[in-house]
Order: sequence, then structure tokens, then C-alpha cells
Amino acid sequence: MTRSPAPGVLSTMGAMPLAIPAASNVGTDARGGAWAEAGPWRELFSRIAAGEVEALARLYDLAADRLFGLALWRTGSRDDAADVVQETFVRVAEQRARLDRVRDPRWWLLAVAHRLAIDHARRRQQRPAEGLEACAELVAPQADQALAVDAARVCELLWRLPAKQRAVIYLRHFGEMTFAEIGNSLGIPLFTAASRYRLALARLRQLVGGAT
Amino acid sequence: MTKHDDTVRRLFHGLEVPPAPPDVRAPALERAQAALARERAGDSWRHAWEDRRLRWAWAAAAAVLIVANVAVRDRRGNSEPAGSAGVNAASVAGDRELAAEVALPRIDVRHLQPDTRNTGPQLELSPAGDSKKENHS
Repeated sequence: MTRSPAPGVLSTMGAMPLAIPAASNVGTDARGGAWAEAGPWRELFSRIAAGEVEALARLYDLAADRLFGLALWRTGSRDDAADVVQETFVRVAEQRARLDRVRDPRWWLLAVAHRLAIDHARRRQQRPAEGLEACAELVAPQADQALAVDAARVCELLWRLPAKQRAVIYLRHFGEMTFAEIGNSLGIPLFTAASRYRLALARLRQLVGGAT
Repeated sequence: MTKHDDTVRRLFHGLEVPPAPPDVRAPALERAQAALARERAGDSWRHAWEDRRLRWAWAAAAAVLIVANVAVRDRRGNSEPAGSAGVNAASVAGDRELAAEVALPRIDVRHLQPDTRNTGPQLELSPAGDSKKENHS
């Protein structure tokens, strides 16, 4: 994954300029092992609670992709998903005093992003829906035309699923999370998460059968 | 991995979720840092409330005030009218005139005759409704 270089000093708060650290290469793949252990996340939350700006940037590098993915699958809009990511980090900063008490920062972040995504999706319902091109929940990794066509077709199928079921499929398949973890993140019981997943798969199979 | 998972894996094979757009990072961190700075320099009363040690101090101070209030009230006694402590102190100090005023016997209205209970001005209403005429008995 490549990132554009981050700008240097972006803003000044009082007399102290706040520099945003450049994106680090370590842990930029949020779907890797970074999500496996809660320890580093707790340490990051403690550092943010102590007011370390660098920890905030590090947290972004670790979590942004997964938060964006969840928001994208929940809202179906790239713009809304980007807003959700931004607002999630604002919430992190605003809740600084309580971060030390968060039991598992990974599920806490996902839960915050999920709630924000629901709010955005509700607001989106009052506006005209985007075209399917703008709602690309899945993309082909490179310039692979065949896979790009597949991605468009799968996105079309996903778009016909309820947003709740899409979120569960995303966390289960791309987040590689257990149903208990999904339940913790979305604030739903384990069996509800499993049930949504099962219903989503049944619907997907039905749609695939109808499409072929 | 169950049969259900295999279905999804085949469907999503070779595809991936797009990463967060690179241009989101800078504004996200900028907004977060602004919020962090706001929160750090924020409401001192909220900090005082959320700090655990200060919260214990608040609770201890409130408890001491309550206990002290109860103790003082018990020592003073409930039957003694308010302000009498100062008057008694004045009598002890040697002000005989004031002590004599304080020592006046209280009138117990229960022992008064029925016709002497009402000692205030009596109002007699005239038939014309002139209520301003007073009859001092």
C-alpha cells in the first residue's frame, strides 16, 4: 500500500505548532497481524491519553484502513466513509481522558466507526443515492480487467444486501474476526452477528444463482 | 472454516477492500490534534470532576461537612431556640438589663382564659362593607 507523503506543519494551536508525523511503513497494513493482539493498541491509547500526538498518527496508520472498510461497507459511500474515519479520530481525541479505561481499543474503535457510519447512512437516505461506480466496496488489486469486472458484479450483489449484513460480512471475511468479536464491535449479541452472516450468505447465493 | 466461508471466499477471490484514501490522513489527524488541544486546555471543572483523586477529595470534603453539621447540631440541642446562645453569653458578661429581658417568663397561651387569648385589634365589618373601621378592645 502506498501513501502520499504527509504534509509537515499543518496547523498551529496557540504558540505550539503541531506537526503531523509522516506515515510510517510499519503497520500500515491494517489487515495484517496488527489487529491480532490488543497489547500494542492499549499502549497507543495510553500514549494518546498522555497527550502524545505521534501516537495519534501511529494509531491512524494502524486502524484507518479497517475503519474505512467498515464504514464503506456500512454506508456504501466513499465520501461518507472518509468522513467517518476523520470523525472517529476526532472522537478518540475528545475521549482522551477515558482512553485508559477502554478494555480493548480495537473493538472500541470499530464500534465508534460503526455508530458514525450508521449516522451517515441515515443522513444519506435523505439525499439522492450515489451511482454504483461510486460505491466500490471491492476493487481489483491491479489493472486486471477480468477481476475489475468481477469486482463490479460482486459490488452490485453486495449493494442488494442490507447494510447490517454487509458490515458483518466485511468484518468476518476481511477483518477475519470471530462472531464474538464482531458482536463486541457492532454492539450486538454473538448469535445476532452469526445470524446476519448466515442470512447474508443465503441471500448472496440466491443472487449469484439468479445472476448466472 | 465452514462451507459458508468457502462460498464467500470464492466470491471475493482476488478482490480487496479499497484502503483509506491517502488524502484523508492529513485532515483526519489535523482535526484530531485540534480536538486533542481543545480537550487538553478545556473545561477545568470537567477535569476536576473526572480526576479520580479530586473526586475522592470532593467526596471526603462533603462527608466531613455533613458529619460536622450533625455534630454541631447535636451539641447545641434541638430544644434551644436559635440565637439564645448569644443572649446567654451577653447575660453572663454582666449586662443585667439584657439578662432581665431575656429572663422574662414566656406566656403559655394554653393557660390563658378564652376571652384573653385574642389580644390583637378586632375588626368589625359594617353592613355597608366598610372594613377600615377598627375596634380596639
